[in-house]
Amino acid sequence: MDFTLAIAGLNNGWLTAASVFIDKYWALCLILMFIPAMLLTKRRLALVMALLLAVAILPLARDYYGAPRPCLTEKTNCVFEPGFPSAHATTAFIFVAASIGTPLFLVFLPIGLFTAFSRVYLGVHSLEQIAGGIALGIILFVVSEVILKKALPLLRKDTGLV
Amino acid sequence: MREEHRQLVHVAAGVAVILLVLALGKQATLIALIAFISAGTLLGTIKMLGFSLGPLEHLLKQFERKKTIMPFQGAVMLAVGSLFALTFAPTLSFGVATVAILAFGDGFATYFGIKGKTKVHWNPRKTWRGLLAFAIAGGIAAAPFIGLAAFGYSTVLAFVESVDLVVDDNLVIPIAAVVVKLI
Repeated sequence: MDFTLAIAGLNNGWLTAASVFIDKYWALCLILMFIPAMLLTKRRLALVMALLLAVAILPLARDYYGAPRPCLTEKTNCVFEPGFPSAHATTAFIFVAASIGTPLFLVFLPIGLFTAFSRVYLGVHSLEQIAGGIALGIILFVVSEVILKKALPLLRKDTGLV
Repeated sequence: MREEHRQLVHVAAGVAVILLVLALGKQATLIALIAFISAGTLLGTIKMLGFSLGPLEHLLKQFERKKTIMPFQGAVMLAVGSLFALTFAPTLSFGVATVAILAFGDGFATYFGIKGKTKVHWNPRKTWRGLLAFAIAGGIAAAPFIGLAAFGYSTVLAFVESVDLVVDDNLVIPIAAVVVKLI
């Protein structure tokens, strides 16, 4: 069974509207997630660093793998460019990882899962592309947190600024 | 819980991922891994927020190491590492081979490494015995998927695992495997 085809084949008015909203206004969604994350999570620096790493790594990974988007439906405009890994899934799961252990996680996890689902539902990403995005998002956050844990005490010691 | 038993569970979890890929295919395995990661992080968060997990508390006491940031961290990281390996590896067979090295190599390295006496020069917490166990066990487990090249990859990954990189081994090994393969 091809799950990408099966999910893209679904058609529901509410699902389409919510998915298209996420597709069109993802930057706004990120800002709306960023504000409470800055206020309610303890690992803010790691979150910012992971997002910056994602901005740097995603284009490189997409160019390297060159896996095309499936473009299976006409629910939204599908751009014919490399789609692995999904940037939506990557960024959404950076927020999910950053919010682990806080009440915000209970909001971010459903948002992250729905964002990933919506990309396949709209036909703009395959299941593999969003799965890769989810893995990359979590890994980027964990790596950022570990780097900061090691680097921050050194910076504090050397400069007294951080 | 003794470390040997914990590693047995680690190997069994890796075998379960491989069997899922072979029996149900790549996509079904990816969905299962995403569901597992979601459930694991959700339970971890519930526990971190101070709520009881009921019957799962016993499981957590038995299997979880003491020095972890999040409950179920080991299991969740293994699932994330497997998800990364299966999606970022250039071929499915290499992805499955990476999961096999992660499960058997890492599992056997800990099991045999604890009993080893000669430490590697670059990390006082790792022994040559563990490194050798990683290379051999990982190579044997991955060979059915990528042939004899498995022993080469497993040896390289054994050295990577022996370095004190601070990041969880379950993430370091798949990342290193994919990078080595792509290079």
